[in-house]
Amino acid sequence: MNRLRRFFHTPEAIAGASILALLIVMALVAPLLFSGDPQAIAGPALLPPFQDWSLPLGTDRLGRDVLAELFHGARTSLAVGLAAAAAALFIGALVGTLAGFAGGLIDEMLMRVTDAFQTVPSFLLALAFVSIVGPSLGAVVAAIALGAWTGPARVARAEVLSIRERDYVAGARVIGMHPLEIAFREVLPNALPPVLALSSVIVAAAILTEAALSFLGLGDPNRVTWGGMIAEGRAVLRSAPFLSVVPGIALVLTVLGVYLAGEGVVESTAVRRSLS
Amino acid sequence: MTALLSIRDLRVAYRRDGVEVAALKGVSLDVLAGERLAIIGESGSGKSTLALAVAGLLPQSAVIGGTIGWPIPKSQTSHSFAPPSRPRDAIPLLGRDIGFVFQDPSSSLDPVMPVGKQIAEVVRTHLKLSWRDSYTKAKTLLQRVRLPDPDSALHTYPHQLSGGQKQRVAIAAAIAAAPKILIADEATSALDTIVQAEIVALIRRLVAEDGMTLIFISHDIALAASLADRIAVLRHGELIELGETHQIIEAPRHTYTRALLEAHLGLDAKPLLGRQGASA
Amino acid sequence: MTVLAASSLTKRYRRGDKPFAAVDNVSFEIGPAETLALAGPSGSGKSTIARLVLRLIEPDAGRVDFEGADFLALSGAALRARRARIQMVFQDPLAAFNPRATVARVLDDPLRIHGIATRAERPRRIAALLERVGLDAGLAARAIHEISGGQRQRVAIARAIATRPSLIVLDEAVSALDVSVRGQILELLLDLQRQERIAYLFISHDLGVIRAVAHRVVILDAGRITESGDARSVIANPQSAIGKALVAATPRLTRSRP
Repeated sequence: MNRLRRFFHTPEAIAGASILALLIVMALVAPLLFSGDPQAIAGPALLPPFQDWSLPLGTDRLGRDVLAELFHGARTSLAVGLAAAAAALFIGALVGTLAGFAGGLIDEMLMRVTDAFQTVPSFLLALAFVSIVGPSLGAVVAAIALGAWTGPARVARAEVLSIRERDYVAGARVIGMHPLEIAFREVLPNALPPVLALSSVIVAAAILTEAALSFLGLGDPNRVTWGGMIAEGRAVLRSAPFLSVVPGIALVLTVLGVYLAGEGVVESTAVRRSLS
Repeated sequence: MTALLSIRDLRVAYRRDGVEVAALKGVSLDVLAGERLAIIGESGSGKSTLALAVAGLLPQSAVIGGTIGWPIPKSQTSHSFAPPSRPRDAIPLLGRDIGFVFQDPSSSLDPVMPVGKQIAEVVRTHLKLSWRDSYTKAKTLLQRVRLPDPDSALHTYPHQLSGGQKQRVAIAAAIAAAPKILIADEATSALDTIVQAEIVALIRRLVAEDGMTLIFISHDIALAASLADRIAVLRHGELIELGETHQIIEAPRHTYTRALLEAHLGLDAKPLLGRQGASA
Repeated sequence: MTVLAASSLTKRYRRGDKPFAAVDNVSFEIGPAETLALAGPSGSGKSTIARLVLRLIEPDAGRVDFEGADFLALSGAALRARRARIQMVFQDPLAAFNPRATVARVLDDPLRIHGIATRAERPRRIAALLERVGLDAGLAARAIHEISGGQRQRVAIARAIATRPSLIVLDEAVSALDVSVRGQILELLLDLQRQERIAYLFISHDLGVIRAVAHRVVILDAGRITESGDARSVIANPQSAIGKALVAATPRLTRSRP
């Protein structure tokens, strides 16, 4: 309760949480509000916004309902962003903990692999991966996670290196605990907070990467995505700019919301830490 | 002797998760000019809070009541904590009027600044000397705290020094501006017995040479007794007993003081082992 | 018969470019139900010896025999199983436990790892352990950071005796405690020693405490043993320079009446 109160203490956190809440509501009600296929033709092509109140945001080149696409696009953006970030954090924490705790040759090997992934631009990596595997939701998630796990891995390793020397780890060895149990039950949970602090940055980056992949036509073709909508609108950018602007604004707001909410969480836990 | 500092009904509470926790519950105490006063107590007694309050080092969030009066010749006004606006001159300045030595010198010294500069900065800030004169003074101070080879010590970094040497540097910085009061808050607790005895001897000598008033905060009644003229015993934020050292040690009035004395395991105490005859 | 015999233990570290011996050719023995104290200034190698004996670090040379067998020869599962017999209590009871742990979990771990009690029996065992160290069994549900320092050190002792060890290493185990609590903890340790015949390797910088509870004392300086013998005789009449310095530096209460 206290943590929650502290979280809502800063205006940034309130703004971020509100945007995120709106987005989640959009994603949840999308199939109820727009039960049909969002990619079906709903009216005349290139209808501007605020003309026909059954199609408030107008239609695109093929006559699809932009508002319905926006709502369904929120589902994709959130799903891919969260899944990719979760996968990246999971892989990163696992690799970082093993490297930091085992030390020696295992550490050396894992960190060189991390270096290798980190030196390749993550967007190129995602691009190459999707090109080979083929565009599907799972492939996009995997492609983004592939470029994003190195940050969490480094942070987790650094944290584990310091926790490894604490008395309670020595205490766990003294009572005869198995090294793997020490690593994942004693060390990892205490190494997680700074790793999780990265999650807002990773989610935001993942949403942007997903949009970029869709923009380049490498998203899942069976789903509406904001990046895909922007790409669609590009052809008629001069005559119907709203087709690109509307999903663009949605994208900016989402990334901003994730950042602000993440900042709020980090700040409220920082206060907590300095108090104890 | 005249009172250098008179503390009246000092109340301090810390706010934690929206709840106020009292650390000092109305402590009244006079610190006499030139005396060596020890404040002893166990954890949670409020002894460190008292030291921090006198030095004006309590965190912003602390709720403070009562007064700490400074009848110093410069201005006879005493300041109250209740209105936050206080006349600037009336408040003794940490560093200039009060020297403070913390328990852990590793965290009170700046790890990336040579120790000479850290001391010279105090001198320059409070005595308004040039850098050159400040460094000369810093070297003298390092000599006074008996740091070997003060010339090269000026340029060493804290991590190059041992725990005892670091505490000597911290003491040099604390007395750099010739304060009237030196507060040592558990200043020897992180050190081993031999180094502790050396630092206590150093503090005793410096206080005598400069005529400083010493407030020595400790959990160790025997250590406090070896240094202080008077001892104040704190428990759960209240002043339990205050008296001359020999009276506290030989004729304690309060049962808690007696319990503290009894719990002390000195080299003349009755061994616990022998009492039970548990030899192998 | 000895519980623990360390012979010619040596551990070297590098300080900058120069190697130095943190522990230099140290040998000692501890018998059943005996308390051997290690005393010395900081940096004398006391804690390094504790960690060597517990195999938290490995020696560069020397031998450790525990309960008549070569302790250094063990590894993997055999070593972990053997650890049940040699336990440790740390100086700072807060740092010695996982910050997320509850009292019950801290005591459950050794019982589970060494198969001492089935899952169903363990809550009863935990309650018995808490009562053995003078704590209320209801404390089991509390988080470690919620209980007082003295209670925490009692929990640490309960954890150490959970596997019925023959030796407990106490590394400055009472140094961080308030004096009023310290006396009670020392009494508890002596009581356990008498009833369970546990030997203690008692590390402390405080000669007053050592004199109160130890049978024998070893005084260390710069990783070497400078003198050893009956605790009370050594402290009453130290022979080595460092022994004399330690005794002289110990604060004493000069009281006219006892």
